[in-house]
Amino acid sequence: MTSPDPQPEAGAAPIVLETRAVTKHFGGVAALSHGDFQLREGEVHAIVGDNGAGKSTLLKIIAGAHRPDNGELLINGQPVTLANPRAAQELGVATVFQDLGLIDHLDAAANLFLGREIHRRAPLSWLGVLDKKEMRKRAAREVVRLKVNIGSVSQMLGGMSGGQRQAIAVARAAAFGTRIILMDEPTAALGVRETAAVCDLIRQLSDEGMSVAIVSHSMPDVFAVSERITVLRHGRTVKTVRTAECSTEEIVGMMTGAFESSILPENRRQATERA
Amino acid sequence: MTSIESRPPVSDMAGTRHVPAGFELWLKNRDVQRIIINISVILLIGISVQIAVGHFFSTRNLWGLFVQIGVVAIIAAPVSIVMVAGSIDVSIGGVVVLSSVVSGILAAHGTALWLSFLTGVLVGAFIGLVNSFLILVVGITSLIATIGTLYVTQGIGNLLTNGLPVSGVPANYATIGSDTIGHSPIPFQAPIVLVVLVLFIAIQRYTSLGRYAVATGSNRRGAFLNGVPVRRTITLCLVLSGAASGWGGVLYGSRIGTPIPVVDQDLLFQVIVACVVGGTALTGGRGTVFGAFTGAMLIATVNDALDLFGVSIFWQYIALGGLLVMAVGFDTAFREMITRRRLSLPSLEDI
Repeated sequence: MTSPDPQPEAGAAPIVLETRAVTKHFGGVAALSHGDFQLREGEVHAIVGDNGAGKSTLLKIIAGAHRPDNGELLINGQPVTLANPRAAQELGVATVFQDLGLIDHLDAAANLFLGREIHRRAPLSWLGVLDKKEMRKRAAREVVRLKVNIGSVSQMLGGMSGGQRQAIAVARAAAFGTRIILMDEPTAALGVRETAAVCDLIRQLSDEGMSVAIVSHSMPDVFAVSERITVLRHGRTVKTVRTAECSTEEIVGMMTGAFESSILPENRRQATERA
Repeated sequence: MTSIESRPPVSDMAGTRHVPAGFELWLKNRDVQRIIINISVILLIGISVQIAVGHFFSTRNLWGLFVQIGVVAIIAAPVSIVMVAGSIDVSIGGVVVLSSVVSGILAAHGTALWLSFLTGVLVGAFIGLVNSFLILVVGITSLIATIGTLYVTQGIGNLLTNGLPVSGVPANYATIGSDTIGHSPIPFQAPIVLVVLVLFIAIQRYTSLGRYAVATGSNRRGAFLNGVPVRRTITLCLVLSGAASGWGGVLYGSRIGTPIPVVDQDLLFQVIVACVVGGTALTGGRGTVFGAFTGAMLIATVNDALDLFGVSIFWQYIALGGLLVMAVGFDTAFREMITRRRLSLPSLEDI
């Protein structure tokens, strides 16, 4: 089988997250039949593939939203089983899902702290009394650190633009001791300016030493932010390449099967059909 | 003199948008707007009645409002939280019957009054637990599940009493529901309503349960993915609304003096109307306990005004219906108008 990284360069950053031949079936459909993926410390790593290539499934397995049928998931070299997204969060893996999972009827600060609220000191904490002031203060600090362009952390999320919402979702994922961030189509619904802002944010997270894996359809964005690209096709990992060493055409070729035809038998057939 | 240089640089498109903060942000909050409108309408009606026939701003009449609406206000507080969490609880009508009957029977058999009342509350909390079982474990939608328990609790209440009023209830059973405190004009119900109101406002505003209820009702899947204990939140909300309905039932029985096993349809729908007029969205995510309280007070004020004008009780039904449709209708139409203007969309006629 193909190894995702055939020539591991000497002195490369350690691998913080790895999947080895993970598979996932939904009923009779194999969404993912051989998912190999390695994420190195501090890198931005894009996962690309055509529709139905299994990239979102792979991401959800890493995020703890899906249980793999077979194969191994390693975080910091340790094999792990994730029961739910919360379990992944506890291991320092946070995910920004495509629908963001934000709450329109809560303000930005409440969204940042959702599910991990800070409570007042005992005995008030026994009653679940929140320390809103502290949360607002820390949220404001996070927002400034990540240069998120919102007016006030007390603003309701429902009134925010798509870019601001995306930034809040990323800030939420990046806060509180997260080391690995997964993003599903972070720029899918955004305009040009907002896309650039999200790309900046991703680069900044990487500069801060966090490892970022993004699933994306947008080749320009992938080439703008990523250091390495893993290509999936028909539920299998085709290859992992360094972004600087290949072109958009080569990546698209691998996604559609026009290149790398030696890897999958059916690729050859399709390639000949094309020619 | 301010020079041109001292002005902040002309920012890009995203930056030119005016960002509201502080007081302005507070005023832009739909819940706050709704509460301000309700209180204004209450005062407007009150002043009109006062000028036209008088008696509205008398202490007796004002405290009377509490007695008239106390049970509705108490039940509406947690029911609004249930609705914020994206569910609805209509079993309250049956719980009121069952709890009042159970507490009445216990009191009639010589049980200490406080224990009878407490049992009434616990019966309500138990029904809330049954509701959450039906909704979360069996998977029935909340409306259907609680209609089911509405009828079942009503049936049990009737079975316990053979459909008759509970007889032999001690006289002091009626104290908290119908008497005033000492020689003052303040009814016992007034502090009871206020304590319950403050309790639920605190739960909604200052605890994680209140926040989780909003998250659950607004985006259930997102809330779950973010680690919100969605099922526990719904269960707690339903148990609270059950317990409050139980307590409301005790008060209701106490107000009549002898609990009767008949569902008061008015009570049930007044609770729902109070919540909705108070700004609670049936679709979940939005609404406040205090808003529901102003909704309840608005209903009481309208009914009271019609009473003082000497209008037949039948008009009160028409007023209640009109109030509901107007409150929601104005809200929807107004917002539609604003949205269209802001986005400069064509009006419906143009399309």
